[in-house]
Amino acid sequence: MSEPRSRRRLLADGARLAAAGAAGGALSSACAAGAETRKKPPPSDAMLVAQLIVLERVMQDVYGRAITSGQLDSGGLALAHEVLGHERIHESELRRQLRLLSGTALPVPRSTKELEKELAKHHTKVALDRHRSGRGWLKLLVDVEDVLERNYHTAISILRSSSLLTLASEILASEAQHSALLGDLLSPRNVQKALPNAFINGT
Amino acid sequence: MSGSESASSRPEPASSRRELLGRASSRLIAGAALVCAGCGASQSATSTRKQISPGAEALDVVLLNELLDAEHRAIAAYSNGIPLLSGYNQRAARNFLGDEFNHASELISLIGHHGGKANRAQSSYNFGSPQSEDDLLRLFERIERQQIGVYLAAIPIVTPGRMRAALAAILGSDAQHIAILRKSLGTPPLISPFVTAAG
Repeated sequence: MSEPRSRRRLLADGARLAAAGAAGGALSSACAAGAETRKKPPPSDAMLVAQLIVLERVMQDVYGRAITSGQLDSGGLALAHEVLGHERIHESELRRQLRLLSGTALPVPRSTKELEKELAKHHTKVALDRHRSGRGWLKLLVDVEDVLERNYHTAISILRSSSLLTLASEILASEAQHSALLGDLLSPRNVQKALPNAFINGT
Repeated sequence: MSGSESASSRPEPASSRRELLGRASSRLIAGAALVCAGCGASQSATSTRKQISPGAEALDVVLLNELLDAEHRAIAAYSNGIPLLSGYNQRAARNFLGDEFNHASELISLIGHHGGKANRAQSSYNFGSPQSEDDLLRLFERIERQQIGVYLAAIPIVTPGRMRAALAAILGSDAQHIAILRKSLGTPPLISPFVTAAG
């Protein structure tokens, strides 16, 4: 219901939407170094926050699907519920920040196709409707957490506001913890496999 | 049940038990005060802070050195604590120590890249008196939290975006350590949707 209204607002603000789309592109493709050296100006803080909100929503959707799949065991289910709560809080705080910046929210993907398209933009090709085992869902959640980590990591290299930098860092650290615990479920008591990287940048 | 009771009642292979008993004296020493020898450094951190070459981003280098001090401290804690741990906790701590070495190496590289001189580890650190494996895990968690605090303070201040991203990647790793340490301690691994030094 709210989507058409949101779309109209966005269409009326076409230039901003286009710029915000560029922000999405910047987030999905720019590495930290590239973002600094690219010739066109980097996306604004509002654009970056708007794109992160979209990804937080994608994340929530995928966690929701994992929860309702009936495939997760009790440990996986408990973690998924807890992380889903975190992602909602992240989104809520980012939306608050976007309002403070007088920024424009981007439309969030609603259908399965839109979700898959959004993930594909971030180099994660996935068929969400495919049947998965509990382990398969956990692996998918790890992949999607990687997408978020990559985007927060990139945003931290571009954001200008100190408070947003702190917020993005706190959320990146939170996403890193989610990955660690998902990894621990996939490889119990094998910390080398659960936490394979000394640097968390979503790669 | 204290952590030490838990450690001694865990069914360990005989060799591991012998190893633990063999280390009883060092454990006692650790109990008295875990004063750790620091990585062969003979000078204090403050005395090794050197002038920064002209034109370099002096503040960034100072901040990076503060982060490096925190990494040195974590390395000393893990290095000295690992022999007192067993089984999974020991393997996890070893893994974390490897991460901390990588973090320190990255910081040293960034400091050098910005024309600075990297601080060396202190000759010793006082980590109090951990009496059990759980005490050690809690100590590690405290040290990781302190690292979270200094990284969160530094990230908005350092100038180049590339450097901020590098620091954020380390922050994420330290946050992961905390989650696993807390899980090992049997405490809820996730405290808050926003990871800070406090929670």
